[in-house]
Amino acid sequence: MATDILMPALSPTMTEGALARWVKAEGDAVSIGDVLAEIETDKATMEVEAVESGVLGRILVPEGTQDIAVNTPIAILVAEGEAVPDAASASTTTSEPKSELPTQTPVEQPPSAPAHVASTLLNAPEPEKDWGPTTEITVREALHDAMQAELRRDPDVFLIGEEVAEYQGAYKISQGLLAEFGDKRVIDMPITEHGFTGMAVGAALTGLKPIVEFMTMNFSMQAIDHIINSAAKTLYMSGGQMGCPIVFRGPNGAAARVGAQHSQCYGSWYAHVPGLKVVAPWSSADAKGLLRAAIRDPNPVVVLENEILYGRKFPCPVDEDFILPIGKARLSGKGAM
Amino acid sequence: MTAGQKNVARVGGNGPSLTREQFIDAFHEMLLIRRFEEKAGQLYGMGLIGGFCHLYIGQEAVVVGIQMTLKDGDKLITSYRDHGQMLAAGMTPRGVMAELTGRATGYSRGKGGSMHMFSREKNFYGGHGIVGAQVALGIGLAFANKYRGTDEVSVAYFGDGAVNQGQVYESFNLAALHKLPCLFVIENNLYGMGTSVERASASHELWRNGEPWGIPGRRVDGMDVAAVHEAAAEAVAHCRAGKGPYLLEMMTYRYRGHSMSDPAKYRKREEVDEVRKTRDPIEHVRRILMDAGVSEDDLRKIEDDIKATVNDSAEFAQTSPEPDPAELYTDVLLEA
Ligand SMILES: Cc1ncc(C[n+]2csc(CCOP(=O)(O)OP(=O)(O)O)c2C)c(N)n1
Ligand SMILES: [Mg+2]
Repeated sequence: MATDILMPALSPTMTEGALARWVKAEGDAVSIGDVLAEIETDKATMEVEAVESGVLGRILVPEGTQDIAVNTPIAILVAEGEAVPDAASASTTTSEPKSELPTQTPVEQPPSAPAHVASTLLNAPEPEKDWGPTTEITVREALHDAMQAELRRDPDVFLIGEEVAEYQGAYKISQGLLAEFGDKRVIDMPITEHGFTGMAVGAALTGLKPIVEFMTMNFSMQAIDHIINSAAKTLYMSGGQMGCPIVFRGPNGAAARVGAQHSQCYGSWYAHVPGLKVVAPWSSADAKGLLRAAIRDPNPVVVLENEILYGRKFPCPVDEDFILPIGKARLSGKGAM
Repeated sequence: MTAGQKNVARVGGNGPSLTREQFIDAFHEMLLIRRFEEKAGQLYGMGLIGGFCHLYIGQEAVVVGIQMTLKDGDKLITSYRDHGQMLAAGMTPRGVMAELTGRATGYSRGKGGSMHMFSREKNFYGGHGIVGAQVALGIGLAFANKYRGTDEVSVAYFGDGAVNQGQVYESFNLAALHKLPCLFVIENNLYGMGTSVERASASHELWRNGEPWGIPGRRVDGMDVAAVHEAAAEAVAHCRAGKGPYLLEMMTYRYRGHSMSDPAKYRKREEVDEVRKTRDPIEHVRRILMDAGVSEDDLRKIEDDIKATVNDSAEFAQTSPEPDPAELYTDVLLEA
């Protein structure tokens, strides 16, 4: 069966090219992989290889021709001994070659935003749930209690980071957790942020729920590629198949007298990444409620804590089930209408 | 180190070769990948596949030989040169081709493309575009195996170019430190884009790169599916037995450019031709099968079969719808 050889697209941006040189002549036998011709693309001179064996029956576009649109028949390949048709037919190996590169379907109207976004904005805020009695605890205790509660609740949750286990936490957030949960679930890491963050993200893709503690968020920059390219984007790039339930947490923002490398806020960096959720709790109640929600969330969540607040006390509900929703503002007090 | 030179250090013993049935299976799998990739190249040429597209042609024996030593539940991860891995893992040619052409019926519903496909069912974890990232993610898959107390193994494939990334060595350390069941496979096709191993690595014995952490390594003829199988069987058994990671350097070669738009000026055409002529992994097995008395007719039947499968995948891809533009906004976050 005669087959048309078409002008190939040889780069992502090529729409037309020039036929620089025919390497094979009419009547030449060709086998798979042989170079047939040289083509100049918008980027470089490239070789066109035969994708089927046969005889080069007829050259349709002579060498030296410029501006040949992609998918124009440039030659006809026939089987040994077969008659050569005069002109290109429709009998290409693949059905229906399009006459030009498919252009993107123009989006006339921006696709409508998912309905629930609009409705949450318009609805009146629900009243705060009343969690009952509170007690004064530090933000440090609140974060500790949140991890302890979630480690107790779900065996797929584990904590990794530098000095989180035997040292009891560089900022003592994980104090006592090693003793309660053992070294299988509270795991010291060497100083290798890029490596252990990638490892944790890989584990999360299988459905485990790691909490990655960065000694401070400043060092998350070593691992930012995995936070963004591996954790935040995989759900989208897998068409919704592969979520990444993981928490990246640690002290962020201003710290006292440590210089610019240890005193930086990542709020707007991470908040601009689609596929990441970011929370930055202030009080003990917010810290406990939001960290618990972050650990249960099926998405990657960055929890930005603040070192200066770790020792501050705030009232926090004592209810064992206390948790706060991510993405809902707290009504702190009513302003003038 | 030249492409034609085999330069294969046989560290382990010469284990049993493959049976005739295994050779037939390997022939089938390798040829499926070869024909599928040729078709992908054609569709790219027609403008039906856009963006980057990295073909696996020439390297088929690596993934096929390794896959034959794995069992259900073992996990896989690789770079953007992933079509061969996916077919070997049992993902459907239709789903892969549809994703290549950006269709809603593709593995990532048209949102991943050539470099990013995944399958939970087949334990294929992508499909990653950041050179070296899959190695750290790969030890995470192995970490999960160990955490869950299974004897499953994870395989992390990466290139000779990726070998120079820092996170690869962070991963070697972590995998050895925690005795993770991770098989590291370097697919040494002699080039990272246009840079040869000689111009990129101070040491050319990549199989020894795990030595500082006590990771056993072997260099293997990656164009010989039986040699790959033998080495992989030993390595996988090591990982499965809880002895920690293992490193295989597969000496292989890619026939096509790095991606579709590679003018390939860094190597001579004769170099490619020589490998094709003297070391082609599929022709090698074809000869073994013919010597073993498999008839030309039987082989032709396999070839026809594969041609039909591949054509069907192309037809399916081209007749599938493109994703709705509103899909741009879905799968960004899961409902909490
Ligand atoms: C971190 C990073 N740097 C650079 C690139 C661009 N890039 C893509 S593939 C590649 C070459 C990689 O070669 P190798 O690891 O040998 O794999 P092969 O393509 O040979 O399979 C480069 C430089 C990238 N994708 N990611
Ligand atoms: Mg390479």
